[in-house]
Amino acid sequence: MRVPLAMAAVFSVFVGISLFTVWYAKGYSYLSDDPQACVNCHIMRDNYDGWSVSSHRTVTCNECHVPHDLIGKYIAKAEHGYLHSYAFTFENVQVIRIKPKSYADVQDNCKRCHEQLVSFIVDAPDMSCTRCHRTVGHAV
Amino acid sequence: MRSRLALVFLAGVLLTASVAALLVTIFERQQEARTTFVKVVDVKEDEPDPSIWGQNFRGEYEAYSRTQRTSEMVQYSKYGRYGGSEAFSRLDKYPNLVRLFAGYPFAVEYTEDRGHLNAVDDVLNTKRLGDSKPGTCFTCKSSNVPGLMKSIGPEKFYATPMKQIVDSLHPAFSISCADCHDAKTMALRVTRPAYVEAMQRRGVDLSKATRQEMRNHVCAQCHAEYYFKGDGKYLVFPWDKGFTIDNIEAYYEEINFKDWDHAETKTPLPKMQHPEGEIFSTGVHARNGVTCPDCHMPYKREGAVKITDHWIRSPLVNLTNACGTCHRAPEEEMRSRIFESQDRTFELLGRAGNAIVAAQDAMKDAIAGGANDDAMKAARALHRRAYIRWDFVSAENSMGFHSSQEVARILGDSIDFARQSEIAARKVVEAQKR
Repeated sequence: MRVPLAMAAVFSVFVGISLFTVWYAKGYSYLSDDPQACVNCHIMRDNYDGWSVSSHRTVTCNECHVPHDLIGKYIAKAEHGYLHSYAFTFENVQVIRIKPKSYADVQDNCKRCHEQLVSFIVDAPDMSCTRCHRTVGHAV
Repeated sequence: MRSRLALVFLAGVLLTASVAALLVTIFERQQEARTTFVKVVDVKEDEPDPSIWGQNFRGEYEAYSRTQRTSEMVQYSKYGRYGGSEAFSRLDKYPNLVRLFAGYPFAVEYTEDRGHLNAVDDVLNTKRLGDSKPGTCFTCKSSNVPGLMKSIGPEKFYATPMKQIVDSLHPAFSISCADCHDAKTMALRVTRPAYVEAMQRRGVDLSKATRQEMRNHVCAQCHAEYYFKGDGKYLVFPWDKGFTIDNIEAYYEEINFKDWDHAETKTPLPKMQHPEGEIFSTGVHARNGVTCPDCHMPYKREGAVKITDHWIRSPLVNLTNACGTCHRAPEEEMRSRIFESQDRTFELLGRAGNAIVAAQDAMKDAIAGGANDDAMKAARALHRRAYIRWDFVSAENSMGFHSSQEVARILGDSIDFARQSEIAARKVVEAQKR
């Protein structure tokens, strides 16, 4: 009886601290589509500022940066969350580079909205919208 | 059963501890973002000692301190190929410099310059001019200078022997905070009177410069071509007609300026010195509004705080932060673009140097054959035109990268003038044979 009690105590402390951490770091906000969530961490500030004056300022970060099926969206969010928090906890990163998978997601999202306009040109190999239109989302 | 329980217990403890650790770092980062600056001391105006400023700005000061020890930490020669901050002898590396500078102290000693914090040591130790250096040589070496310029004025500063100025300081601090910053507001400022005067003559009011413009001005006030005017050794920038080598040449022609007569040919020559400001201003980065610190002091992150990296150094050893903010190409590509531009410049520079040496050979022959000043006039004038263009590129610290097309144009002209000079001298030799 004593051992399970001790474990329950440890477990409850773990759950308690974890819940508090999620609340304190506004972890729940990452489930939303609110661009404010992306600047919880200071590292996205430049990108956020760039976006807020860009031609795409009326659409959210998620419109371009995550897939638009329910499962794919949250898998991408989990991946981004893991990579970002790892880099921000253990490294001193100043310049952010997009990963190939995320780059493909952005391309898909360009097509999702602009398909009628671009369907004739986007299917060439190695073609990417942001290669030329790199500042439409945010200049940095 | 018991050992399994113990294992689960241990795992629980570890997990709890790591979540707690995560919580603490999140808390720390948020605190860092809140207070980016803690004022520990009052820094007085023109304070020359960087360690006092450093008490308020620890991140900046620690990074800046590295300008003293660069070669310990980064072997630049492993990254770049031509410059860097290790004091190798340029005369050993490029032997024809001894002939190109014949009769001038640069033919005696010419070592690669080191980081900012070595400036006082290096100017005291160079064999060039020995103890006869005027105060003017100290203008850009020390953070004591902004205060001195105010207390004794530029005229007296330039005319006082450098050694006397250094001996009056306890100690003399190398280039540091006060040279670029206002102690009260931390705003960038130009502290060298010669630069303010040159800009006034060009109709530029530095007090109206934007912050981005100041990020070029504070560097260009020292990283620029200059000359000493008259016996008072008054420091002057030759920019009244513009910043290109052709403008500067026209200016020097008008005042008939020379630093020395070349020992082999007796051509009157002005020495060119580190025209980074001028050459950069003609390049593609300048045209796009990029400034010196954008690449040489790019932003970096310390915890949650974004600061300007005060370890001023070659972007080649810091490509991600230096180029990556604007260029999305990978590091290897950025490095190869820089090398391509530098390698091409180096090849052209070598051709120009060789062409000038060939002209010197021909002129030596003509002089040995008894040619008088009148007969040598054309060859010397062309030698001068070739030399100042070659040295304008050679003395500049980027091996052409700051403005590769302009530099190629300058070196093309230099090679042409050198060969014309050689032909003119050979004609004199031919005439002597008849």
